[in-house]
Amino acid sequence: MQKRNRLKNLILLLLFIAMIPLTALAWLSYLDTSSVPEDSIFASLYQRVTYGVNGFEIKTGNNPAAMPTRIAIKDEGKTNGAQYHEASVSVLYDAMYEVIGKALAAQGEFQSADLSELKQSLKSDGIYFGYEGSLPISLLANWMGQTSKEQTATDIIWLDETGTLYIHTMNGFKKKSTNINKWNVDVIKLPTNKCIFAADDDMFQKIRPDTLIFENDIVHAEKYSVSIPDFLDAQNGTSLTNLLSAFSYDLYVNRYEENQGQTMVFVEDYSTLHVSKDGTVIFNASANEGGINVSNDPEYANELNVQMDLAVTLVREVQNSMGDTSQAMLYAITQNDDEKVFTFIQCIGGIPVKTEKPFAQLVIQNNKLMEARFELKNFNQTGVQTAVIPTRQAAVASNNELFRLMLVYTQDEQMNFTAQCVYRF
Amino acid sequence: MHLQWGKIKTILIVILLLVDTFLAGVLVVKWASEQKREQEMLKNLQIVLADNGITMKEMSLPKEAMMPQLIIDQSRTDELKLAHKLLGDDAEQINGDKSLSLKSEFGEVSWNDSGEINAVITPKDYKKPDEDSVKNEADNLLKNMGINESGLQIDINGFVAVASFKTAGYEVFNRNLKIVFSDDSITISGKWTFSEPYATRNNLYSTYNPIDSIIWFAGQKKANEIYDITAGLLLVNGAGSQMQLSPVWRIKTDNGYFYVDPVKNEVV
Repeated sequence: MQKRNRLKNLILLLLFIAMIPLTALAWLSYLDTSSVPEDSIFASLYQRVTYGVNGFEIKTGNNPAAMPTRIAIKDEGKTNGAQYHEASVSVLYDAMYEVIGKALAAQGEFQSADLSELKQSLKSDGIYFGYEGSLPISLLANWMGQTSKEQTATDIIWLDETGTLYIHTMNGFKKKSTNINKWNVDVIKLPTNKCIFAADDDMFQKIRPDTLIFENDIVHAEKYSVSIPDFLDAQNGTSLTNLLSAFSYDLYVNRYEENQGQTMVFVEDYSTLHVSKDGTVIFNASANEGGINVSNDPEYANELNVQMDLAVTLVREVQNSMGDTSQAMLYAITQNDDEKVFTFIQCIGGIPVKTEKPFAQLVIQNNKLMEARFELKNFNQTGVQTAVIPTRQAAVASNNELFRLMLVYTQDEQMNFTAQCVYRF
Repeated sequence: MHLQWGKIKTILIVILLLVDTFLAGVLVVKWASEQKREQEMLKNLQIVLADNGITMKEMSLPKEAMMPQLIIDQSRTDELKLAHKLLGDDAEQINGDKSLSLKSEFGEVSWNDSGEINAVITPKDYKKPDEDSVKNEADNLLKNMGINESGLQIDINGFVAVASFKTAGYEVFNRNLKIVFSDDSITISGKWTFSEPYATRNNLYSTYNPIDSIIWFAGQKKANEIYDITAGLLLVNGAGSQMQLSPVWRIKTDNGYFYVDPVKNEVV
């Protein structure tokens, strides 16, 4: 009797255990990802069990939307750095952003500083980051893994050995004291070239003192021709599906032609998307309902970092839809009441491109992206190298101590883009 | 009381037996219908392909692939570290184009802006290995370079070793390091990535149907025979320093391999 009872218990146990995987398999076999809430733990479990998909992370675009174009470190009086070379600047940034981030996030108020103070400070050891656009410190600090509420925008950061941090704003230079005056950066392993600050040599009195002057300068740069991506031609290597999806439009949305077929207008209930053969793409929301949500959580929607995430993701999705590999860089953020305008420029290999109209302008009102305008073009290598005036010569020829030197791609008469050394405030 | 428990257990056994049989039956029926559907689809596909002058050799058709759209950031810092591991700490930077190039007494290493390495090195006391020890030598070299991804696979063909690894369970068809052991030097070439891939929540997965891609490919008249179709990823340059892992179908034909982008419907 007891033996029979044990056997029943065993059979019961086995049948119960068998039921668990059978139920799971039957459940999984009738599911697909659309029937599982995307954010749920079941979705993650389902993906792993069904597709074995792992080995990556899910994140929003919190990468820097702008990188410095010039970085230098002065150690025991010797300056090494890189400028207008994406690969080298990127390595220097990785090696030094933590120090600069801490300095940006340090407590204290910025005070006005004059040019002579910066000039004197540049003669000591320190770390220098130079950006093309003027960007809020809160944003820069966030990209460097720190938190700051400082909204002042700057295009340079100079941290000297006394811990004094200098920035350059629309209203002149400013400084604040920090306790970040030590860092451990192994310059030997970094891809740097020897250089000096203009402040280091009296020969360069008539140029902004933070201008970097290199011993071995870029003297040649690739010339680029331009082609316009035509989303209306399926054989053009572009993806209209991806472009529409970037703006949350379906491929089969209503559409009509404008400008004798030069522009296709896609129409949603409260928004339109104009895609033109000249590379112009314009998104316009006519009402709040047509805007693209910054965040589903209204608590975070007004935060600059979250709005920035949306802007960067959209810009990159549009670039990817046309196979554009240039770097889109945040250039400026302007604010009027509850509206923020994010302006992006393009860079090729670390050198900014100057165009009549900005590459991208996005308007965000509160929790919604209401307008976006893109001037799209692809840059193609021509194999031709053009000469660029060395910074040393250009610096000597300068006559304004408030101007710095900048390398920029400008369009020539043949509509090609060639690198030029220009003076810039 | 004992007698009642015995009855209850018997009833429970019967119920569980019925439930388990039902569940197993559901799975078997589903599997059988899928097999039947697959055979029919294969038959129909063969007819469509035959109309386009293409023969499909004996092959099983893979299921729809559910692949994520992934992004990898190019890490110039890791590229530089690898270059220093090959060339030593005293390696000097070579000024030039958009690439990151270094040289030392041990050779030259260059990473271009597409994450592609080209290196020719002669390590200290280098001797060309025996054919039998190529795998060991390649393994040691990769470890010295700091490459130790989980699931790293090394394929050997003579004095050539090819290292690769999967991402998100899929093969990345164009990401590999080819190591060639010559008489007086080692050549390393190929695309490689270091950072962890990531996806944005909005467009995590898409479904890709192999039949759609085969039919589209047949219309391109690029081959006469199709031997195999495999889902995988292709590393393509994205905006700035981003690289995208684009889902593709790799189609093996009598004219070689073709990679079909199922979103853009184009041969990559």
